[in-house]
Amino acid sequence: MSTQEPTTGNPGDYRLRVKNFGPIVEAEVEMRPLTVFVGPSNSGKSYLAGLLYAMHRNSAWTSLLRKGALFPRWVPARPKVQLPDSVARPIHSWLTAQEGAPVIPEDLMAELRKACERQIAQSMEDEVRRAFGVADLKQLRRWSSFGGTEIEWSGKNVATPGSAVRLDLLDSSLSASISDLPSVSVDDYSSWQHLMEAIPKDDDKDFAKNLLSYFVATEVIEKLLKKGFPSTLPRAHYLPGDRAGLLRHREAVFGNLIRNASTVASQPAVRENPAFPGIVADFLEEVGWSGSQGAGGDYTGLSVEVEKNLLGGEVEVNRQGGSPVFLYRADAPGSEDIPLARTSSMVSGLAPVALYLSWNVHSGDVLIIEEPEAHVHPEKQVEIARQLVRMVRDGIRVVITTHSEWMVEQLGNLIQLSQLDENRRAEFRYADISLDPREIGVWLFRKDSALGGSLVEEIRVDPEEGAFPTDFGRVREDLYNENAAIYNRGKDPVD
Amino acid sequence: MSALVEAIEAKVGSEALATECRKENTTVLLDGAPTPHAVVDLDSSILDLSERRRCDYLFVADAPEAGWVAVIELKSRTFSAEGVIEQLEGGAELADEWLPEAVPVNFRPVLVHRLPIFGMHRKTALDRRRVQFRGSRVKVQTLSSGARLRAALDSRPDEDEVGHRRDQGPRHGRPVE
Repeated sequence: MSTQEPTTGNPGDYRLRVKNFGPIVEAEVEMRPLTVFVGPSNSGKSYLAGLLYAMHRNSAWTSLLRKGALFPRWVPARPKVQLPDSVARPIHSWLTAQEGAPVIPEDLMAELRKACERQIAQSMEDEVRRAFGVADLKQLRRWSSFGGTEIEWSGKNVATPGSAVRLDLLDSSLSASISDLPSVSVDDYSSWQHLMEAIPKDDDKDFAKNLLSYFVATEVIEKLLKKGFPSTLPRAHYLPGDRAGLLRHREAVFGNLIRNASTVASQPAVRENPAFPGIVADFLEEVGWSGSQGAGGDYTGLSVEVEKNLLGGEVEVNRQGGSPVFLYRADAPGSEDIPLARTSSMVSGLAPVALYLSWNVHSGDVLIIEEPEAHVHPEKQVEIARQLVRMVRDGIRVVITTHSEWMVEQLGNLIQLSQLDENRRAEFRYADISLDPREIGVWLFRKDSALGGSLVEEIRVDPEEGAFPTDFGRVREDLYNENAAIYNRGKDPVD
Repeated sequence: MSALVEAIEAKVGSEALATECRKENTTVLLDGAPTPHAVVDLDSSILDLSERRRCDYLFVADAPEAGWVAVIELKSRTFSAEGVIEQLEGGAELADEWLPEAVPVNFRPVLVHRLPIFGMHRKTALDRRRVQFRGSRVKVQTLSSGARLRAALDSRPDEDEVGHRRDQGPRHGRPVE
């Protein structure tokens, strides 16, 4: 599919503000169909990418509700509903009031809003801790900061313009606040009231009253969240920077896990099982779905293009032994399947992209790739940039961190191409993947020694230069001047 | 001996001399530059060069072994590399006309830019061209606005004279517990 219509307006177009997170002093980024983080090493690009991943995994508010996770679980073996008194009492009062009405009393609504916030904070805390593999969230605070860590997101997934979800990291835990969560009305008030009246006013029946209150609270909160957050963030996939090594040695890692697991019951494990951050563990798990029954992405065609244009061969998954074995066959006469562990780092680094497109990624999903250019020759880096734009064209939202000036320059060219009228654009080879400036956000991370961390700013293509003003230019200028100085010194007539 | 400086002052007159190199909000500093030196403002009306293709300034300095001649173009906005080369070539032609041939000099064409942009194609455009001054055909050297001219003349400039400071950021230690 190719179109010049910008693929904007998606629920994934949200704004994220971060303060004192990892090495980042402050950042405010707007997610676009193609989002690019560029800047020096250790400036916080992967921190922000990891945070995005955690947010996307944690945004399914309604599914949380279906799991009954807003309150401590109801345990059937001990028939007791652990609804906090602060919520149960106002519900009882509301449903038993003589002058009761379907309008939810403000004190109850306030308690339910707090319940939403508590759950969002707790689930986000769990997810961020898991994604980064840290035992204590304090480890993610900017170490030289005096202020607290703040994470705030707002955008099209928040109903009221200007409203936002804000998380504050105080000590080791997160607290959440949601601005402007709307009030809701209910349809079932009468039936709930009748049920409440039917419960004998007897202390032994607290269980029934609490159960009813639990369902009332859950339903109201669900309405509240559905109204406040009409759509959830898209599903995200994360390809970590060291994916080449992870994929090559996946079998060895899983073999170790299984061997240890089988000896745990009979003897203490000789070695501890390896611990991974969630982004790595998820990658190892998700890539393992390749070729399995029931798995399947929407982008086999794009996967074939990646194989043809980048890998120069096909990636196959052999599941005959149960767990997947990844094989590569070069596009050359007489080539044979070889295990990915014996391929180049370029092949094993990009093979996951092809595998994910075939087996994991669906329309509208977010694909986060750390340094897609790792181990890749500049000529292919340029091709990677084109493939990423093809993914965007076909409905995938892409986030990358990169150190590749070649890729960024190629993206700049594709933006420039989109500024030509249709006839002139059609003369160019990549007319079908020209990139509307509204579809891309490039964010430059800059280290600031005075502030002791990084600042993040959006950079746009310079219309005359036709390129993004990244910090690559400074490196290039230094090298150029070094070269010019040496050259010129050699031409000086006199020492 | 100040053969070059005396010659240029005699040629252009004191009214065409400048004490600083600045156009709009773009500047190159003269601190630490070889002395004695003179800077000619090629836009000075007294020179009446409006019909000549030229750069902004001509820097001339005397030194024990060889003098220095630098032609300087300051750009506060975006620019074409080809256009800059032509302007610097025009400055080199003027220097050739004005300066005595008997004095040996080392020559530097210098572009000072304010915008932190050095795109790949511009680098290529600068890299493949040379600016000629008498027997020397040399490459354009670039400086960020606010840098010292000395950085383009010295083979081994101080770290803070390369046109911009490299910001290495904070030392990363263990997170504060």
